[in-house]
Amino acid sequence: MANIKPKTRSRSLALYGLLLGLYAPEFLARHRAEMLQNFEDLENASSSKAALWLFIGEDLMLTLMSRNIPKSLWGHSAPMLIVLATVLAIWRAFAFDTAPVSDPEALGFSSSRLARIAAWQQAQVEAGAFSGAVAAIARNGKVAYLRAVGFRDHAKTTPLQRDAIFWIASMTKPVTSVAAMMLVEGGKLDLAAPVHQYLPELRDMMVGVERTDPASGETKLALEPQKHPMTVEDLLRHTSGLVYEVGNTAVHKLYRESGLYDRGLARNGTLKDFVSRLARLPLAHQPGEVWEYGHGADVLGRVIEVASGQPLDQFLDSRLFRPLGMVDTGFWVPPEKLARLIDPPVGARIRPDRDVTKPTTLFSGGGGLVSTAADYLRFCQMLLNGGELDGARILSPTTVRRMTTNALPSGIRFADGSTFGLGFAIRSDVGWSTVPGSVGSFFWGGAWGTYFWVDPAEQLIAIQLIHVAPDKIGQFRGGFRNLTYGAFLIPDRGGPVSANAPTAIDQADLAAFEGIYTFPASSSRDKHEPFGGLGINIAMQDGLLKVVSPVRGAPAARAGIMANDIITHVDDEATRGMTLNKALEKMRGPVNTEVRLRIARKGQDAPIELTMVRAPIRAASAGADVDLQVAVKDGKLQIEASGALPVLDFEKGAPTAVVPLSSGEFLVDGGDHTRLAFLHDRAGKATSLVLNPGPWQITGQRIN
Amino acid sequence: MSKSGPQVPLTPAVFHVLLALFGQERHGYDIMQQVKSDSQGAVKMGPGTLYGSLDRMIEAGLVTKGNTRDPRRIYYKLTALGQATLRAETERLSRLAAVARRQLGTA
Repeated sequence: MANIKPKTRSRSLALYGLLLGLYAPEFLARHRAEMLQNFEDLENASSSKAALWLFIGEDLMLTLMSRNIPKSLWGHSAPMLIVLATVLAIWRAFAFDTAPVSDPEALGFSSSRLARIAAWQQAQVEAGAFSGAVAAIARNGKVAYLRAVGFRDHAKTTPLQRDAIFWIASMTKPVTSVAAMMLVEGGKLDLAAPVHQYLPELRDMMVGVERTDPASGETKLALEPQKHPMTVEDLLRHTSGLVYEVGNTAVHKLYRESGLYDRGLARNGTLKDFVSRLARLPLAHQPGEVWEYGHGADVLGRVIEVASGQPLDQFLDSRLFRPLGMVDTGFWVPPEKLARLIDPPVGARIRPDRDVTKPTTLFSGGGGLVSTAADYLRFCQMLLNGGELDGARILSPTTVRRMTTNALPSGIRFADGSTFGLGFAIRSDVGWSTVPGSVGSFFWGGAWGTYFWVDPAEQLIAIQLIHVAPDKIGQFRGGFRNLTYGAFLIPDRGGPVSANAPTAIDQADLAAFEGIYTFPASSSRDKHEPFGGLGINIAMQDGLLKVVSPVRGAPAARAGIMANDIITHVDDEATRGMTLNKALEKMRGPVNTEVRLRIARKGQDAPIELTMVRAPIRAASAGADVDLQVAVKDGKLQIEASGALPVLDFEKGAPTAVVPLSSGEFLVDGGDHTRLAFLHDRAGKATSLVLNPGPWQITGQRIN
Repeated sequence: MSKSGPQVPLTPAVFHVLLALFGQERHGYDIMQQVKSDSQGAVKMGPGTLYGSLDRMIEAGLVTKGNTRDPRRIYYKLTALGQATLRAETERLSRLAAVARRQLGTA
């Protein structure tokens, strides 16, 4: 995050100076110098031009509207204000905004199904898999979902924020690859050229080959010259023969023993030193013949330095991060942002060169960056847009297509159903995978579980940032993919209702279904035991215990308690002066025990004495069971959930009408098209309610 | 309450500026950054809004100028009245939140 500030005053600053003329002269006399300085600071800190001007423009509009207008509405400032307002409106409509939209449905997502992502992550946090997660999903250039779940620290003291900073590890590689392609487009780098054209120290690298002596059975490492010199393209698609320390061959062993990251080099070495150490090791394969993950992108980082004449951090900062407005991306976290950095996974061993809390001079193009969900979204949106974001052109569409198209020769295998381009893995087969995604999707992830993919066919970007132990990352990637595609809306084509002509059921038959049906919470781990209570929502107002709403079918409602009743006594004890919690405690108790309430009701002179028997009640809190209340309204059956039932179409407190399909089956018309089937006992009384009958059905028991 | 005592409630902008200046002199850009961080990114105050509020707060005696050596980086600090007002408003808001919390429940 080097601070490269141009010496000359920017054009933006000059424009801002002009706009300040809209303020009252006496205000300017006091603050002009300060405001110009503020603008310079803001420009340096938040360097997407669109974001800066949106912010400044809004500030100007707000303050001018409130004070300056009456004086000069018909003077010279009126036309300028109109122009400003128009420009702002256009900007707001077209600029990529990382704040999520209020209506994900407009982007083809179900809000309630998107909410399952946070619930799923929350369950992982509670199970101790990771301390917290930030997930972001964008579609059609707008953000449908951006939420943080859990905590920044393992002690669970600080809730994680959406702008949390993560070490994104190998998600650095796509960034470095894009930087290299910018130089290719600019004529400063040749993909087909030998790497030694830029880094002569790599010219004579040998290839290590294990040979077994047939006589002795002994295996030895022989060294052969490169058949074809390693090319720049080999670095981008992992066919260079450079590998990582993880592996079983003699070459991997040499990597581990080489002390590539000796103390001296850890954070204060340079890429040049690192590459010269790497040059002493043999390659694991002939260049261009085998795909193997390794240090290619680190060497590519050094190639970028040589080709551009700039240190890698400065090149990335000035050419990518600033133009794209990636304000929190860099090779280390400055002190003022350390409070936003999430803890490493429990028990993680952090190599000294990976300690992102301290400044570094060793810029790892393979895994050095820290970033945020919003920043990486901007990077991905640039790719999805064909190389451009908010007026900042990074690459040409042709180059983006080339990077996200197979770059491996036919003889080289990457993985079943996937292939590799320049810096990205690419889905090549609709089958062959355990996770959903369109052909042409490109993706990659980092060592501690950070993960992203871009699905151009769906105009979709998804990013999940977590820090988990490296051996556990697979399941969280798959889970997030399933939840994301699982949140797509079913396109409304009239729905299956037209296929099953709705049946008319008369009022009396509908009433037979009325009641409360209770469903097990989706996570059974933290199931709340029901407590004995009255089924009543109460509030303390002006020292009076007031009934907000009795739960239909529960003891209080059956005894005749109504909303707005004042409970003056519980078991002969006056409620005046009681705390709300004390009153709750008094009304709760073992199931089947009695409670006596004295009620004052508006319009009634005498107090009402009511005795009722406590029944099992479930507080509508996270993880608790969920009740569906079925009632007849306006001749139609209507369902309302007491809590989140995220799997289905029922939102807490939002009555949902259902249409009958047969005498005992109903359908939510629209949304996920949840089907409901009532089951009867022999006497014909509805006893349970089955949601989505079939292999994935959930059954709720009637409780009243 | 005497006329010179703390006058609450405050506008959110004034409250945020008071909070940002508590215990520390700050210049304009620094105040904006502090407000952004105090509000966890929810309140982003621009220069026009900030200096408009500061002018009114100086007039009301809540804030005064500190170090003015560099006209581009004038420092502002709280007066005793500003501190008292900040405390009074904090009390008022927490009482309000407590009332709201007390009034919601299920039995």
